[in-house]
Amino acid sequence: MGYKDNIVVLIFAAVFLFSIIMLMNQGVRTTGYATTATTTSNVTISTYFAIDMSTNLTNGIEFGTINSIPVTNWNATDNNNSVNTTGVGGTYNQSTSMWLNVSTDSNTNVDFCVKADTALTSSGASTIGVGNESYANHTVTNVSLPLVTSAVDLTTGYVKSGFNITVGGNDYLRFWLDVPAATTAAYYNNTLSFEGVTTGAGC
Amino acid sequence: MTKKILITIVFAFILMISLASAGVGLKITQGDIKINEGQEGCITPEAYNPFPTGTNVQVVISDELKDVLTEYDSEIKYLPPETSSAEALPIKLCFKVPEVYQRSYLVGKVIDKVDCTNQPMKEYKGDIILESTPGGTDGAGAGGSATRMSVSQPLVVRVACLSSGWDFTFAYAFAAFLSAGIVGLVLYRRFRTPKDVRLKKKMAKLQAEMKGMKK
Repeated sequence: MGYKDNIVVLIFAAVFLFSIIMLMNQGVRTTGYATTATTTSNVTISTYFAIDMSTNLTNGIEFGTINSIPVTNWNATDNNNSVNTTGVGGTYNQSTSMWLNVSTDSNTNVDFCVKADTALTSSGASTIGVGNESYANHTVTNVSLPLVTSAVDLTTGYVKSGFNITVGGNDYLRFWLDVPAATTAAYYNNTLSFEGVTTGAGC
Repeated sequence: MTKKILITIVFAFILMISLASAGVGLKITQGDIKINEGQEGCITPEAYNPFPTGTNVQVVISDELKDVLTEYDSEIKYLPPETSSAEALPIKLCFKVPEVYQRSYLVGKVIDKVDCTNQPMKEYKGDIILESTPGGTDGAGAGGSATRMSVSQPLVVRVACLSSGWDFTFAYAFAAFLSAGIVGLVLYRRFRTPKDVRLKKKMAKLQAEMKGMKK
């Protein structure tokens, strides 16, 4: 037993030592031996832009109480409640008080994208389809602009809703809601996301 | 008169608060990154808010990059008001890049090697997004839509392939573990009985051999 045991111990101790050495060697190989000599040319190009929403847009898009259905192109509460909004050629009343602004502290023009997270949904899980909520945008606003005839239905994927908004410029928004006849009486809510991207980039 | 002034000041204050808005700004100086597969890396976009109200923001990546920038961890950071682009705050986003290149395997998937020949560098395009916290809605009547905003800039991730020969790390570790176990077992069996018992057994064995020799 003693002699055989000694042989076994010697063989497996040798295997153990070999494995440990090879493991350490693997580690060194992974780390690598590369040496380089380089000279560099440095240039830093930065792109920056900032956006914000008007106060009424920040507070959410409200449609108030609808007492009789069906309705088509029901105005959002803030579609026409702005006073003295500065626009092309002067100031305007009854313009929209919902807009997105590109900060003057930006070095690129901006495109805006918009999407809804889901259909307008009540706490009882009744829904008003996402395509029933629509919007229009324009770089100026007055009693008619953005036009309801330019309205586009919202979707759950981002789509461009403002193009090439200049530094310091605004993208004015109006929203409308269609409510089908069979809609259950309830409070309906969803979330709209607005994303600013550098002009030309995808949403 | 004093009461009237006080009411005017309170009204003006409320008006100022209601007119104040928070914004988000994103400054990128690194629109593309190159990283070796299997390694960890970080990018540091900068956030700023040149508007009158502070806001909480978080950096996330778009869905297109979620397969290649895994285990990423981003912090929520408060952006103070009136932060200019020159004072933009860095927000570190660290991640791990998984193994994306084709491998050859031995013994199931225990031993592998990577041959980068004929495997062009993989490039992933997506966006880095700075999100603000959501706004609210009164939700009266037919309800309405809460709003939130974000800004994004393109990010290109190039994953470099690192050629390597057969990686026997697991095999060596297994051999070391197995041989250590066998050596330990043999030594345990040898030394588990007390020394005097072992000597007595050895003595008895020798005596038996001597008897055999006498015969």
